[in-house]
This record gives sequence, C-alpha cells and structure tokens, in this order.
Amino acid sequence: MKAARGLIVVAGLLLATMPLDAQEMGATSADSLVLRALDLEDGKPRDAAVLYRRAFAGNAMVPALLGLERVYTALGLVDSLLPLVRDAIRTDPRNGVVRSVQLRTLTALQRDDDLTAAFRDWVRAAPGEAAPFKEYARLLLETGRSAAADSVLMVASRMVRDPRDFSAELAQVASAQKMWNEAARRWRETLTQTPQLYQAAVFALSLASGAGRDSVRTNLMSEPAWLPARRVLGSLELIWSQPRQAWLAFTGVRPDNETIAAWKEFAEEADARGMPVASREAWAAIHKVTRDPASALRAADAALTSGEAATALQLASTAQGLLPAQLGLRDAVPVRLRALAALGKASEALQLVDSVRPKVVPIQLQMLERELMWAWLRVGDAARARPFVVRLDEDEATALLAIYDGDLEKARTALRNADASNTLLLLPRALLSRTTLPTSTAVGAAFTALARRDTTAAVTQLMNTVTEVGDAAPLVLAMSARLLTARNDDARAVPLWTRIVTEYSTSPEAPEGDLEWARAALRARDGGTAIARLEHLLLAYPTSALAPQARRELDTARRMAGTS
Amino acid sequence: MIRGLTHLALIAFCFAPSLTAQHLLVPMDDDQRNHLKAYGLTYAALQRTEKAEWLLNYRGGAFLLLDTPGTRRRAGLDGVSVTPLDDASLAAVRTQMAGGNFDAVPLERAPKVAIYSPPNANPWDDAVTIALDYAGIPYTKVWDPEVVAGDLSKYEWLHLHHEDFTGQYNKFYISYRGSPWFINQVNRTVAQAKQLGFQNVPGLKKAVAEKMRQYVDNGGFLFAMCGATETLELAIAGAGVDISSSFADGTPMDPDADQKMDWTKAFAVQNAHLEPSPLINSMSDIDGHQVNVPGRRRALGTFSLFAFSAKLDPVPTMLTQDHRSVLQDYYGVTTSFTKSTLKPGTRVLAYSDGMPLAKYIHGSYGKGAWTFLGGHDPEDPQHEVGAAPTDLSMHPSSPGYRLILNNVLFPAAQKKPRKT
Repeated sequence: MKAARGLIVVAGLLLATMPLDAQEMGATSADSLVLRALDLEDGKPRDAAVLYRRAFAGNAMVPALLGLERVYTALGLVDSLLPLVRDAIRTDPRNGVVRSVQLRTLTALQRDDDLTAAFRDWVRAAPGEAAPFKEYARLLLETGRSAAADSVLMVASRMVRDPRDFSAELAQVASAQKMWNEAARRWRETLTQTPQLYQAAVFALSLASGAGRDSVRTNLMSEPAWLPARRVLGSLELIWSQPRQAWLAFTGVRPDNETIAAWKEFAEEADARGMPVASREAWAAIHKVTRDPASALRAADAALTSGEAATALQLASTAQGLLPAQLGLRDAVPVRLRALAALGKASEALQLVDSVRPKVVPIQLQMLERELMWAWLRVGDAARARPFVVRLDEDEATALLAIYDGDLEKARTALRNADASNTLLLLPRALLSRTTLPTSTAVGAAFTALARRDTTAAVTQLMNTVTEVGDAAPLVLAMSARLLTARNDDARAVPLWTRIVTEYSTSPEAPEGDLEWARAALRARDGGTAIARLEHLLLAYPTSALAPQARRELDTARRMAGTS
Repeated sequence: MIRGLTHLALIAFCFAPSLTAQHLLVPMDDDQRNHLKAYGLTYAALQRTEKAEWLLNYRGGAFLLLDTPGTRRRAGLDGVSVTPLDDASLAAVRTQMAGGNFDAVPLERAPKVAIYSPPNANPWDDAVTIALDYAGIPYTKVWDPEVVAGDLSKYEWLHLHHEDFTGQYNKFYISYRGSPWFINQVNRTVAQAKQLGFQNVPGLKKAVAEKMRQYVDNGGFLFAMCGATETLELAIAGAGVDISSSFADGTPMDPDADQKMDWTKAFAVQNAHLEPSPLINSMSDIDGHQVNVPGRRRALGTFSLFAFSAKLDPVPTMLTQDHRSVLQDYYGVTTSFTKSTLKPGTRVLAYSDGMPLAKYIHGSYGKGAWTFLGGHDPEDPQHEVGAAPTDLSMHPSSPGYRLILNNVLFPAAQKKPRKT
C-alpha cells in the first residue's frame, strides 16, 4: 500500500516536472477535438462520435463521454456507451458525472437490475455522498417510479452526512405522489437553501388540483410571511387562473428592495399571462412604495385593460404629476384620455385635449384626437364623433358610426376590414351577419341608446326592429331580454325568453332562452317551471355549450322542488 | 310552408332511432361522457322493472337497456351517452362477444341499498354517499339502533365507510382530542351506547359488527371502504377480547389480545397483529400503508385491476369493470390490505403496484358476499379531516368511483355459479 502511494507521488512529481508546453498541448488537442465534435453533432453525428472517441482517449474524458452520450442517443447506439463508462469508472470511480452517465444509460436501456447494481456500486465508491442517491432518485422519478424514489431517499437520509441535501428531491417525490401538503412544506424548506429552484417548485406544485391547491396555499401562506414562498404561490395562482388570489399571496411581506424586485417579476409575469387584475395590483403597490411614475403608468394601463377605468384615471393623473411636463404629455395624457373615454366622460376628454393642444406636436395631437373620437363614439354622440371619423378614416370607427346612422350596408362594408377583437363591434357584427337589411333607423336608434346606457330606449328600439331584421329577430329579442334581466325586470324579460324558445326554437339563442327562463323561475321560487325549462334545454339541445351549466342548475331546481 | 316542412323533417330525423331501435347500448369505454350517471340510468331502468344486461368486458363494461322513452329522457338529462341498437346490430354485438372474453349478465332487480352512517354525518365525508347521490341511486341510512334492532334484513346491499368497529374512534383521540367535532362525536356515541344498553362504545360496535356478519352470512352483500374494512374484521375476530385502548373503554387493551383473536369468523383476514400502543395511530398490520404513522407510512403509487374471465368468473369480472386498468392510489385510514394477512379464499381484485398489498378484495361468506376497497376517496388521494368535499360533476368519468358503483349493481345480477 505504501509502495503504491509512493508510485502515485512519483507520478505526480513527474507530471509536475513535465514541460508546461506538453501538458497544455495534450489538453488543447483533446479540447479542440471536443470543440470540433460539437460542431459536427447536428449534421454528422457519426463523425462527431469518432472525434469524441479520440478525445475520450486523450485528456477530455468527461466532456467526451457527455458528447458521446448525446450522439449515441441520436444514433440509437446507447449500449455502445457502456464499455466506455466502465473504463471511465475504472479511471475515476468517484466521478459523479461519469456515474450519472452510467445510470442514465442503463435507464435508457431498461436494464433495471444493472441500474440498481450500478447505483449500489456508486454508493460504495462514494460513502456519505448525496450525489448517487439524488441521481438515482431523479431517474426513478422520471420513469414514474415515485414510490421507489421515495424509498431510496428514505435510505439516503439515514446514510449521508446532511439529510437536508435531499430536500429538493423529497419535494419532487411528494409532488409526484400528489401529496400536496407535504410537497408544499418540502418546497418551502428547499427554497430556504436553494432559492434558484423557484421555477422547479412552481412547476411541481402547479399540478395540484382541488383540495391539493388549498393545502399548497395553506403551507406557502403560513407565518412568518416569507418572500420566496409567497412568490411561488403568486406564480401558482396565476397559473391556476386566480389573478385576484395571486396578489394576495404577497400579503404581510415586508416591502424592502428584494420584495419590490419580486413584485416587479410578478407584475411582468401577470402581464405576460394576460392577467391585468394581478399586474395592476402589483404595479400600484410598487408605485406606492417607490413613488415611481413608470409603475403608476403600468398600473394605469393594466387597470384600463381590466376594465377599471376610474382607477386608471387616478393612477395616470398621479403619474403625470410626477413626470417632467413633456414626458407627462407623451405618456400619461393618452392613458388619462383612454380612461375618460372608457368612463364615457367625453366632455372631460375634450377639455383635456383642448388643454394640451398647444403643447403637443401634430402627430401627438392626432393620437389624442383618435382617443377623443372613441370617447364620443362610446357615448353614442355621432355628431361630435363624425368629423374625427371622417378625418381619421378608421374601419372600426366608420362601422360604428354607420350603425348609429342606421346605414347597415355601409357598416357591413367597413366591418369587412375592421379589427375583429374590438368589443364595441361584437353585437353589431352579430346582427349584421344575420340580416340583409340595407338601412334601419330603428337599429341605429337602438345602438345609439345602448351606447348612451339608456336601456329603456334601447329595449323599445330593439323591439321595433324585430319584424324587419329577419333571421336576426331572436338575437334582437335576446339582446332586449338580457337588458331587462340585468335590470331585474323578469316580468318583461320572461315573455321575450319564452318567445325565443317557442317561436325561434332552432335559433342559437334558444338554449339561452331556456336557461334564462329557468333562472327567472328559480328567482320566483317556481321550481317546477325551472325544472321543465332546464329539462327541455338538455333534451332539445344536448350538444349546447350551456348543457353542463343546465345540469348543475337542474340539480338546484330539483332540490328546491324537493324532487330528484 | 317550406320552413315548416324542414322542421318536420328535422324532427322526424332526430327521433328516427326511437322508432326503429329496440335497445340502447350504454358504452362504458372512452366514448361515454358520464360513466357514473350511467349506473344511475341502469339502476332507474331496473327500478321500473325493465330488463337490463351488463355486457362484461364489452366496451368498458357496457350496459344494454330497453329503448324506452323514460330511459332516453333520463340519458339526455344526465348527459349519459347511449347508442340505439336494433335487433340486427345487437346480434352482431352478441356474435362478437361470443368469441372473446366477454359475457352478458342479466340484471334483474334494483337492490335495496342501506348505508351505515351516523345521522349527523356530512354527506361529503363518504365516497359511497357522494357516488350514489351523484348517480341518482336511492338509499336509506341506517345507524346503530336500526342495526341492533335487526333492520339490516330489509336491504340487499349494505355499505360501511370509515366507522371504527373497535370503538376507538379511528384513534383520532391522539390528534383531535381537543377538537369540538371529535368531542361531539365521542359524547354522542357514548350516549348512544348507553341508550342501547351497552356498557361502552367498543361493546356496542362489536355487537353491531356481529349483526353485520350475520347479515352477510344470511345472504346480504356488504361493501366496505376505508377504516371500516379493517376494524370490522378486528371487531369480529376480537369479539370476546378487550382490543380497545383505555380512552375508549376505560381499560387498557388485553396484553394477550393478539393470541386470543378468533379469525375463523372474519371475512377476509387471518393472523393479523393488533397495534398495542394507544399512542400509535394504527389498528393493526392489516393496512399496508399506515398513513397516520409517520415512520411506517408508505408512499402512494398506483394500483392495477386484475383481468378475469368473464365467462368463468363473472362476479370478479363485474366488480372490476372499468375503462382504466391502472388507477392512481388514494389514502384512507385503511388504504390497502397486507397480502400475508389475507385468508386463502380471498379474491384479490386489485393490487398495489410494486408492493405486497391488495387494494380491492372480495369473497363469499355463508349465503352472502363481501367486498373491501381500501382508501377514503378515489378523487382525493390525500384526504384530510376537514378537506373540501369532492364534487363529482368535476369527475364524471372517475375510474375509482366506478369500482364503488360496480358493487351497487352487482347484487342486481342474476346469480350464476362460479365455474372455477
């Protein structure tokens, strides 16, 4: 033994006294082979394999082995790795990378007995180390054997120096086994040591459903409020489409620099996921702490997108006060204007435009006037909107103005090129697609009344159009009935729903007619009628998208009526 | 006029199958939209004394019902997929079934169902109640007074869930002794025992267990889940032994209880060992998962249903009809059954993958039969006290809940002698 150690020392001395050039040359040569092989991997894997084999024989055993693992997998020659792995292990029995390649190869070849033996051999070669257990457990998890992975980790935690080494793996096992309470607890524990596993925690826990989500929430929300855990929960709520809950995840966290950075990440994530409710909360909170006008503007923008125009107006006004005058004009005024338009405050919008008119360049003024045009259109003021519509010549605005004018033919033409996502045009588009009527004063008056939020006039005018709009009659009836239902006027709404169901039973509105009729009956504590309407919906329109909802409401109606 | 004619033609087309078909096939494979309500549809047909058949192994264990307006109507309302079959199509199905591992079992009557459940139990706390409510299958609740009075003979099917027949309240004393719901449960049960003339709760529960044993012996069908499986066996085998801890009856467990157990009367188990410690939340080594004992708890995996010969073994085949053969496992006070504790005649219907544990077992006893299914709620793997209730409208095709409903319809089948 002493002799052997002596030989190693001599070899070390020899190596140390070798000319530096020779050492560098060997390394450089092997490294360059690896680099050349990397270039060949994509198109010429066989040639890459030849170079990797040469590098493996040189001084680049580990990178060459990893390269061979990739190209042999691509070539379907995974079993060719095994002799090389054996040689590499003989050279360096404790090398974790080589051992990992061996385990992965045996897993790919489904040689379970050899896999177990290789794992045990690694444990013997590296006593007290966590790596063998981690790698083996990870492979077991990947192949869906979570129970086996759990057993391995149980054994591991008794054999290694620091059982906390396995917290991430145990968290993954618990997640794979859908033990969400334990999974959340373990991920929380893991993040204290390795916060960079944030994404892994989010991914693993996002698979929880139902009561499992509540367990995750309880664990991650538990006191003391700890930012990494709350950040994970915030992301989870976004993934679970709970934007309002998402921001609440940060409740109680102290707002220091780290927290503000996390809020920013969260807000960007919410924006990217199209959840302005959550991003508005986050940007507003950031602004509250930092007094940063850019955050206030982001919050205002998100508030507008989520339909909270009043909040948007307030935030944009605050931002303008904090920004230099020119930047305020450029960035905050358009948001204020859009908010005023959305609120139907067209007169105030006009005042705002007039107040900044002398201070803005023509292109800015045109943008502001565009917002002003939409403000007038939103409130149904065709006369004030008309000059802007004519000047700016936008298809969407032209179509809406033509509808207000009752010029359905012109509206139809303009809608052909209009942006389909404009929500103001949804109803006009639906109506025009089902009637060939070229003009209708009543339709124009109805949509104008709708824009002016005069539901009484809108219903009256809509009902005037029923006889002239042909196939769109059930749609017009449904529009009227929805308005009346929203005003809790079931007495007038129910006859309209009844007409839709009885006179237009094959129309797309008929299932909705049944459902709304039933709901009105339930509100009137008339379980029998509700049951009859819901059963009619289910039997007459079994493929309707409303059928699942109707089944749930049928259960409610039956409970009310005391039948089953 | 033309529109009127078009409507008439449409109506005639829609109802055309009802004019020609004699049967409705209720597929139970992936073509079915609502597997669970399909059982209710079949049960309702039997209630109306209409004939039905269970086509074992055919399209996931399909049902064949008479094509009646009532059945069509309910299928439509419940969202159950049905396919009209005329005689020629049915003959083709039967020809196909004759050549493979299929069989048709006539279903003759809607079994009268009883659920052993305390009067104040939350409906969502019992998977069977949830399943029956969702499927629309009627049942009657029975509790200790009815059982002691001998009312079980009125029913053909009896379900037990997580009642602890050893009278130890599932050993929840260890973790929940201060919780108001637990204190209430103890107070109510003690009062009930005294009212029925028993000295303590273990005495009452053992008497109830004996009534249940007699019920099966006399021809009843018993279906138990969760902790009721294990504790029923312990109560029957330990009829003359003190197997309860002092918090239940005031005296510690007999130190020789293990040796005094008489397993000859038990349904499924033999030679199991009782957990002697009152502080360990486990009843015995029957349960393989030991969910409430941290050092012993096994992780959840999957369990696989055995495939049986439909023609030779119709009963196990009925009980294992499903559109999935490998299912996600789920915990309960008793999650699984250690194979080494099972009597030789016990049929294992499903086993826990990679473990020496059975998940789902069945057997005959006297003139009746019993089935035990481990775990609490097939759609809530971790079920914890106070967890949100399972809403089956979110799981209309739950393969785990199908196992429960297989058991409900099983007594409806015309008895066929086992051929193996």
